[in-house]
Amino acid sequence: MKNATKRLPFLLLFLWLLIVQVRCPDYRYPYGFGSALVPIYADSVKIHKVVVEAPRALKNTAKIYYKDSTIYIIEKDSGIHVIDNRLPAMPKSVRFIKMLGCQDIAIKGSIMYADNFTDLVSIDVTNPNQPKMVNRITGIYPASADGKPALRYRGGYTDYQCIDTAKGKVIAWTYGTVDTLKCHGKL
Amino acid sequence: MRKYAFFIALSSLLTISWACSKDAGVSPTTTDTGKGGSLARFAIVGNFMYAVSDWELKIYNITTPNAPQFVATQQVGWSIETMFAYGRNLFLGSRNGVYLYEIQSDGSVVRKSFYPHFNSCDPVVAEGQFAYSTIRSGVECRTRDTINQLEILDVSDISKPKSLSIVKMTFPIGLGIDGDYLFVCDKEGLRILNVADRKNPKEIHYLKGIDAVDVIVLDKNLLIIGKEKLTQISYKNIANPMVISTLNLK
Repeated sequence: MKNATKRLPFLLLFLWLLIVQVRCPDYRYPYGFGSALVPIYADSVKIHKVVVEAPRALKNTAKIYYKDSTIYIIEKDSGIHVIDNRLPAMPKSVRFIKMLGCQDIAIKGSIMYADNFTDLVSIDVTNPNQPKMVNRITGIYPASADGKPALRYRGGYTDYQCIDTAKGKVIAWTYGTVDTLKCHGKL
Repeated sequence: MRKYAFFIALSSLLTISWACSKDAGVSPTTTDTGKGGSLARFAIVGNFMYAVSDWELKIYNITTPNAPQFVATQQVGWSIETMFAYGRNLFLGSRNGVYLYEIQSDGSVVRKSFYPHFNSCDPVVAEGQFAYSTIRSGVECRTRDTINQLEILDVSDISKPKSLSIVKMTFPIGLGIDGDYLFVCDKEGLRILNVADRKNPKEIHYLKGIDAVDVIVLDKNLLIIGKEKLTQISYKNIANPMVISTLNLK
């Protein structure tokens, strides 16, 4: 009897390890919270909207594009700043094209191509003050590969929360706090 | 007579400027296409739009610009982060090297070579017979090595890229080239190098304090984007590059 009580903690530990390890082999933290890439599910945000807004402050910028005296600056995953550069000494921000999940653009003629999460959209910028969406090809850039975040969403992060398929389709990943008691993996 | 002299002078001036601008038109893209920075993953060449992510290259036919047609997906390499189009070639910067592709008439691409290097991040740009690639390391690029440098490659034969020189940097990211001048966004600002001798490039300026992540080289003007600022620099006088404006809207 005394022997059994002595063994109990070990038995419990063994069972706990068995359950946790089987459920998620990448499990690393015993409890608490951590930071990792968290999936964004299709129905959790209004993602496919392209809205033209008033100019706003530059932040999280990295990519830039130039065409016909207009500068387009991408705010990572948020949208595109439109800047009138007819006077390079006095650039003027004129619009912000709010479009979540945007990372890249290219322009030919008066049409801008941009990614919008998993889609490729075409925007008419004949008048850069009044951009208009004219086309959308859906599902072209998967957000995940083999259940892991696609490289474009990884940044420098190494941990991710596993996808819960019951919540729907994953359209992107964001960096946030995760419940480390739930399955998460390492990239 | 003076009137005539004025007209002759004016017309010859116009002819010269026309001829010069025609010379300067040796650009990787047609005038109908805009210009992106070195960190871009979209590129337009003729009637095709290319979008690269991870290991895939998506090809679209944009003959009808407002209704792009998806053509194909090609597997082009691993961990690709940037794409630069020059002439009929695509230079893909990845975490383990530079992939060099040639565009075929149907829009598809064929790999001509792969120039490997250390595990790190690296945008690449090209002009003439040379390619320029920065390599940076650090947390973001998940490498324990600390390699931060610029490498110049001879790509006159794109199936056999050859290293010409390596220049040490601090933490280089985007870059741009105009003839013999190379502009590199480094940790503390913008470096300007004279690369007339590709085997022995010389830094001529390190403009510190400029928020610089990527750069677009226009006609003697630089558009420099940082984390929260747009800086424009004129280098009409290369000995004395001047900031002509900054924009951050804060």
